[in-house]
Amino acid sequence: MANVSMRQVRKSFGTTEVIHGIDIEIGDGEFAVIVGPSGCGKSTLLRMIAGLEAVTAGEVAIGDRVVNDLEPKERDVAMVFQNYGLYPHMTAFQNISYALRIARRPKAEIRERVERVARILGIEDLLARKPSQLSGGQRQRVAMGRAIIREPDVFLFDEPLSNLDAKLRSQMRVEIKRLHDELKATSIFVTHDQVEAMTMADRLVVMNQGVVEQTGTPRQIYRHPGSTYVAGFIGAPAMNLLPATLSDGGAAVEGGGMGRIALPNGAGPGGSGRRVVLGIRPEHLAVVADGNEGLLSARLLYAEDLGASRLLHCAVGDDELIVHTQDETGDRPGDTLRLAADPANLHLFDAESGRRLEAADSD
Amino acid sequence: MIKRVLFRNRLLPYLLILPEVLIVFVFFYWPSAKALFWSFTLEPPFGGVARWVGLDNFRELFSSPEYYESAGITLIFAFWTTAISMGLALLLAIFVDRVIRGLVVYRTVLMWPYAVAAPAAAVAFQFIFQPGVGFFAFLNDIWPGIWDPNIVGADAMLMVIIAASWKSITYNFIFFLAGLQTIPRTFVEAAALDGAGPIRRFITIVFPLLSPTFFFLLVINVTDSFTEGFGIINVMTQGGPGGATNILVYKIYQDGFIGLDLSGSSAQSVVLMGLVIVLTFIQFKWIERRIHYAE
Ligand SMILES: Nc1ncnc2c1ncn2[C@@H]1O[C@H](COP(=O)(O)OP(=O)(O)OP(=O)(O)O)[C@@H](O)[C@H]1O
Ligand SMILES: [Mg+2]
Repeated sequence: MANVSMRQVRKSFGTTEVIHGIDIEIGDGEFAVIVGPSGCGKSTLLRMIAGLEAVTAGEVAIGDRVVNDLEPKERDVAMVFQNYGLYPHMTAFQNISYALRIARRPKAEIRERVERVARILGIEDLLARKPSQLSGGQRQRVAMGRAIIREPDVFLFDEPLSNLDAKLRSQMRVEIKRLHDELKATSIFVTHDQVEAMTMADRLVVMNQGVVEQTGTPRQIYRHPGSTYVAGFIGAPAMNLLPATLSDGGAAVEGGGMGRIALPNGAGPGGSGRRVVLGIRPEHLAVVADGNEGLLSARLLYAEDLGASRLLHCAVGDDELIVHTQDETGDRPGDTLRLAADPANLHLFDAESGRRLEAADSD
Repeated sequence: MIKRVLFRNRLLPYLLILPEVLIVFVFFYWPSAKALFWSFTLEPPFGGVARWVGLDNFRELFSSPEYYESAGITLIFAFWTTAISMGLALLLAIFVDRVIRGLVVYRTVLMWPYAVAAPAAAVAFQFIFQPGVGFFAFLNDIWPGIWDPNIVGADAMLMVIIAASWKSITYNFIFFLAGLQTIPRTFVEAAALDGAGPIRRFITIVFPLLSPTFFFLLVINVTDSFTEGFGIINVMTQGGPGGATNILVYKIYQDGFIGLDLSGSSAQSVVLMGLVIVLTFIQFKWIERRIHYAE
């Protein structure tokens, strides 16, 4: 068991720096998810923790040991690769037992431990097969088995679910979490799927282009996204971001095709005229009856039916936004809707930097 | 996936493979058939009608101690040439595989020997191994008379083995390197995380995945060393000293073209062909079963 910390970690390939000084602190036994778009450096970060990639600057520590100069095998980490990396010439049994055989454990112990792991993962019947004779989900399990049999301090997962179909993915999501609750080893899970990120993480790390944008629990990040980037990345469908201006001495916002929206506690960040970005999650918008105190006037472009709910794509002035609603309205494309935003769930961001503005925050 | 090409013209495909078939027929099947025929006849060296003698040529061959000696020499030559050239080629390929910058340069440099004709290489090596003036002359300065491939059979054998290995290292190297580069890094990395050091990783992961290449090269090298040693031996030792490097192909040439015993050397050719076929068969039968081919 161990915590993992990265202090001012940088990584360059040749002259190109791809990780620009990252600080992450992951507690003992935590399930941390690193989420970010393709190419932002997630795999590189994970590989530096595993020891497969040298750290250019800064410090990586596991437990109380700085591991920068340790070989992968001295770090006591196990990794599940995106394409599983199962040894193709070995059976599932041989794959899972590889580390124990390298460590020259007694035969009986190996057999017993492999069988126990196989039971946990429900792959007892597949042990004699080669990877080429397994389905994607089964390979996934064998790869997990190869990692957990070593009982490592830290588990690293590099997008292990991205090759599975949607159903299997949600099933494996639950299984990995259950396994973590059982084993309680510190886990770092990399993904670019924000649903995986939200559902699995104890601690969520949002990355963008080699820097950490925000760290927190999924709930904190969902409720208080630290920047327009995080706001747009976490939550599906993405948060609506509309350009707006503060008015009434900072007590309200207005802009484009929308009317004036009063800010909840009457005092916005900064005075009238400050340019901001207003963020409203699709689920915090509601269609209200005509004549009601409508806050936004929007034209319906098209509606997507999700079964239990609907996504209404609307135009407000020159901007587009999405409303996520469970109400059945008979509106057709082209109709004008009156939308009300839940004032308690408005987000304001600085127009230039994209950073979050808190109500009391007046520069 | 099988690629299929559809030809409208029924004749065209046959025309397209005709040159290849002709070459194989004229330069391979026809001489082989001819040799097979000659081996059952007594061929007059200066023309005339051949006389059918049945198995006499083979009987004579198999009762000649010289022939067994030559066969033994051939096996030694083939074994060491294959072992040395494949071993060193694999080692070089492993080193180059770890190089990222300048890979093209290394690859090109290491390919050059393949472009050198066997006799040219043989002349160069003959100079290198000269007891008086070559690279190894210093050995004779320290221990006079310890190295002389012109007189000592074992020295001559060592010399031709080194020259022949050097010739084929490059070919093996290219295949080994290509084979190594197709092995995904993930396997090696996973093994490293699983606690295997470089040597264990090579033995348990890399080599098994390289085994199809290894097997292919083994068959090619063994076959080659039975037949291709000719160019080198012809220039360097002419089978000498005292028949110490007289491998089967060279003996065929000597008996047939120098000794003008066409029938006897034809019988030898047939036996050599048979030997190569049997060896290849054995390799397929015993070694190929252990090979993992990627699916
Ligand atoms: N060996 C390398 N040499 C040079 N550049 C590299 C190397 N590995 C990664 N990079 C670069 O580093 C950046 C981060 O790559 P990385 O693989 O960590 O991204 P990622 O977040 O894992 O993306 P994905 O979600 O697509 O897997 C990319 O711009 C990539 O091009
Ligand atoms: Mg990646």
